[in-house]
Amino acid sequence: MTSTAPVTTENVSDEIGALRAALGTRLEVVAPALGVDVSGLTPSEQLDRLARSVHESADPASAWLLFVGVTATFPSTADLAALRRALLLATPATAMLAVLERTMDVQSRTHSGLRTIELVSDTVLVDVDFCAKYEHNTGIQRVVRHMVPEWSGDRAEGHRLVAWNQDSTGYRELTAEQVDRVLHWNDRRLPKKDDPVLTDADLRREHVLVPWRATLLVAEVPAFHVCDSLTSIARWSGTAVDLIGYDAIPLVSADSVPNAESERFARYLTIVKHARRVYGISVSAADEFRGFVATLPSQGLSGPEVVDVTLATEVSPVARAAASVVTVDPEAEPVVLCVGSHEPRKNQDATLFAAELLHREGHRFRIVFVGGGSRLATMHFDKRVAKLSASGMKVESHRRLGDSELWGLFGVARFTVFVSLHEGFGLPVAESLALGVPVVTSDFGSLDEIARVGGCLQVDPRDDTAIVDAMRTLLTDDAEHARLLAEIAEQRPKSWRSYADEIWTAVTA
Amino acid sequence: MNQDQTTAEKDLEELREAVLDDWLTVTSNVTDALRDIQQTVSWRVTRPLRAAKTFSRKVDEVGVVPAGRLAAVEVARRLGRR
Repeated sequence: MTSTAPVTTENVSDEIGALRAALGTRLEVVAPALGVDVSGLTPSEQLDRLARSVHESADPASAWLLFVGVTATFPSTADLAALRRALLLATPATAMLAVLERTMDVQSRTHSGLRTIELVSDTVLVDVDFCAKYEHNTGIQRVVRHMVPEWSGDRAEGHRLVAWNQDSTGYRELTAEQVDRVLHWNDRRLPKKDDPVLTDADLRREHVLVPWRATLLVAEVPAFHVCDSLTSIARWSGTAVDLIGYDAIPLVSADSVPNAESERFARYLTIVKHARRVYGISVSAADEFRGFVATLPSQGLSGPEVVDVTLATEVSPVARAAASVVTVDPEAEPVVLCVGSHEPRKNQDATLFAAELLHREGHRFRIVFVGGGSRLATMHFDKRVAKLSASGMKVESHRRLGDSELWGLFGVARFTVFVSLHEGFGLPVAESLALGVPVVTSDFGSLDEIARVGGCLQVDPRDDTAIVDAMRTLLTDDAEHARLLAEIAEQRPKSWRSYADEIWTAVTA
Repeated sequence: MNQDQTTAEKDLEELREAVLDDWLTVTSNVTDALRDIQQTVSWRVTRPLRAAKTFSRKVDEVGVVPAGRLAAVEVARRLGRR
């Protein structure tokens, strides 16, 4: 909320003076980067000189930086195109007017007039926006929260974590609470609390971190409303933008996700077009991005280089400890565990069907489903679980379960089932193997990549009978179960340190 | 540099200063004008509709649960100001 102090001629004059001074300070920051000496000049003289320089150079990166210097916001692709065209139509004498005209709209809409800016050129900026702001920890967040802390030691000086500011117009440094959320998820140093909501007055005085001919690693799939600004950075600012390519599920399996997810991902692909490099989390995920890149020549674009950097398969010591403290009761029914967010492509319905059939065949076991999901996705499933449970089948579905309880379930499980129809990687399979539990999983894509090393029975997830047969085998065939355990015992999971090293080496190459 | 040139330079500098002052005033006033609009009855009565639209957009961006948390924080903040 803005201040409601009475407006007088005096305080308006004070405010304009403060805005003018803040603009001058920002222009002093961008001037050296643009090779212009503005020392001793008034803000209007500074702006005139910088506008003339950018007009003369016609360099898009210079125009991008001047826009940031004037408004303390990152321009959209349309805003920057408009500025560049206005400069091309201007003369040296009218270049400053062109800049003011083309930045007026943004400056009027935002509360950025008193902001300060800092150019970041000598470090890698790592965009961890979602992980910094939210207490949510599924696939992508777990990758980020494992990878980024690995850079805290000798590489701490080489990177800076950034998040979008509250009005999503620029990057800022993380708060102490946000750093804690990203770097110390399993070992929090500060009490958990929601981020404060900033007032307009706070927003006006923010400190903006500006990537300038730097490297920006976008470690998450960014929010819809920042995709255009990120595209503008990737396309025009001279900063190399690298992305971690998790999967293309929202588009290539659009039938299995909400429409908004598909639209968001389509916007994300616009950044991909102009990125330098995409690090696919599996060969399968990388292939999806390669497929997209292969379509780009029809737009006259070459797209990014796509590299396979397969995710780590180890689990944290915390998970290992939580799984090892539980004791298996030899008299109790064997536990079958099915972990994963609840959505159609995860194929939980097929697993539940297989379990029901095996229960009717007379097999004794307890099956536990763990994973959240929208009411729409879970409603019918939960009704079915309740009905089967009432009929005497040992079946449970947990929508919210703490990490330690989840790891404890791995500790008692005889095997896990993860027969997803489409994955970017398949962390539940990797985690199951890392905790020494055999898996029934799919026989293609990224799940096949993980399962190939052993410890898994692979099935066609679209074949219900195959799922039933595999689950029956692991419930009844102790020799086969022991064979898979022996295969798992031979495995050396890839560490998060190795994964983080590979990403770091590629980003800084 | 002759007298005419010096005068012209000075005029140009004054013009630049005036233009920048206007730009700062206008961009600042638009923010003030928005603030005034936000005090009107029509703005206030349509607030629930805008809140619903904002929430819907936030759900698209971050999912239902985080959006709910953000909404709760915002409500707490607003109530706290009363």
